[in-house]
Amino acid sequence: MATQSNLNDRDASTLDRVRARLTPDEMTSLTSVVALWTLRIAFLLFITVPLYNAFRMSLTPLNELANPVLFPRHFHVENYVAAFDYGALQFVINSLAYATAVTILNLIVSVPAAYALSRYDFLGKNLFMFTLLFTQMFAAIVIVPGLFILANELGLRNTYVGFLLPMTAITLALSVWLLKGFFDSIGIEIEEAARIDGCSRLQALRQVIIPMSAPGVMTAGIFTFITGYSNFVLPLILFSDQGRYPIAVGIYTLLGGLNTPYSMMMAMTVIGIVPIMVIYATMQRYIVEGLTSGGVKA
Amino acid sequence: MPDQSDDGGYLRARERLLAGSRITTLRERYDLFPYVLISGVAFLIAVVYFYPLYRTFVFAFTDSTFQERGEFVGLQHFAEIFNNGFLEVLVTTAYWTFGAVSLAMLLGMGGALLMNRDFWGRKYFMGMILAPWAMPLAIAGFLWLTMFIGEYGFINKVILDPIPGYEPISFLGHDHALKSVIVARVWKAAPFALIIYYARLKAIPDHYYDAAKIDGAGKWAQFRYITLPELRQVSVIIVIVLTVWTTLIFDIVYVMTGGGPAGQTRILPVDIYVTMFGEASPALASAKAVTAVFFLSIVTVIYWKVGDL
Repeated sequence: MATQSNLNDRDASTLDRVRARLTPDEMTSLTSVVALWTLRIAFLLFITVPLYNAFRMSLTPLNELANPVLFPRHFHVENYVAAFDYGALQFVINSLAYATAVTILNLIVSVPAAYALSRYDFLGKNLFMFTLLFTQMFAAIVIVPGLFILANELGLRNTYVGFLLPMTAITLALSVWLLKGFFDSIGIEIEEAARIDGCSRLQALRQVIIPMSAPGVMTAGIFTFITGYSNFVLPLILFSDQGRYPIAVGIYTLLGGLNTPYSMMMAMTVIGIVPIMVIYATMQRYIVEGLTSGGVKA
Repeated sequence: MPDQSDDGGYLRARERLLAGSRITTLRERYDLFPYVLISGVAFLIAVVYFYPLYRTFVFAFTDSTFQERGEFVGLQHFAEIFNNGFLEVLVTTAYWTFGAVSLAMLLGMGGALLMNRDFWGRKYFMGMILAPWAMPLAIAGFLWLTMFIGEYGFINKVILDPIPGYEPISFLGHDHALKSVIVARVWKAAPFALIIYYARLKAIPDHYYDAAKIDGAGKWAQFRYITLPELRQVSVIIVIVLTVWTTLIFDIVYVMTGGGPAGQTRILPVDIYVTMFGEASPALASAKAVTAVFFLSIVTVIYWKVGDL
């Protein structure tokens, strides 16, 4: 009891000494600095702990997961070996290939469309823009019944075309909006000068406007790539051949109630996260720019 | 995002001038060029959205099978889904959307305010905090599944286990499942709200606050009368987009619970999927999708009117 109160006394006197040395204003700013940092770190933990947990579990053997351990005791790489044996590499390659194909297809059609919306007034422009916004509101799930019926009729299930076309379509609205914003910000004088120098309209677009809006094309491309990498429901319904699954669906096939190999599943999740985090880390400037320009899906 | 700064109308006048010159130099009468430019996008949207949507409507309002077009049956399928618990699905969806969107916005705004002051390492903080935005939805689901699951879950095993007298919580079981999937959605959506709020906060001119300080406004008054009003418009946009995109999320919930336990997390997208592929009933799934389209149309019109896109 005595030591306890002694401790309290000493604490109190330390606090008093600090108080005596600081003005009231400095005292409030000290408390607010502490409070702000506490909140910042709490926020950071909320965001990062699920990622850390995936990493932790991926290095722990399944039969040791029941132990309450914060740091992995040993680096059990067998989970990763098992994940690669299951086809993790194939799934990631599929995802990256789909994302690349979707990005290329998307830019081929969305760059001209955004240019038209930025530079021309034409009959039906408003309707077209409204339709685009409408499709952006759609999550893929709403058209899934109709799309499945159509793909069945045309024999396009389990084909790359039957997957890549809808996948491209659901990414169009966003890139058209982003690109239109970039084209709007480029003065029309430059194009006029190019036209006066004898460029055709298409040449002016290809040789002057697109190079000038390279950051915009980049941003639209990154967003499309991330969406293309991420999709889950379209490949889930359209592909029946496991060799064609993207990573998200590949991981999903591991889920099986009590028999789920959680360690290996988390190893596969980590493998799936790595490419997207590399892109995110290297392209952050474009991503933040695109996000704050509005209209990006969350 | 509209430009709040007052430039005496100069920018607007210049824009009008430019728009005029656009018409004289680039546009020719009866010009087909813009239509050629938009044709690719128009084609893909027609094939991927409008034709399937048309087929969905046909399935919803007629007695069709995969083989042949059936008779028009009016609202029969809709009556059937509402007799079979569709209203509960809509209520669950509303709870899920409201919970996730309001929490994501609160955290996003709070986080943006925390990040707004300059501090050591802010750049890296922001970099890490925004990471969930880039994460695939399904992967967000897997990550939170392993945070929550009973036997191995991080929260039960690592956080709660050391506490004396602890009882493991069945996060994905009865009573808690819907809240748990909402947490996963908030994790994914809050960074999005945060970055939008953050950009808006950065755009508020410092002299607003300086003027308020001279007038004797305290921290709270500055927040109440400058920051909050400045964030109002952007909040409306965030509410609309997050509402739509949260309502129609499939991946997170499907991988975490599959709609269970006992339908407690059966939100609209999961319900459409299970009806279509689990119960193999395209007519009823289509009726549900049409209901979703109806909701989407209303929100799109609101968005069109509100956002100056």
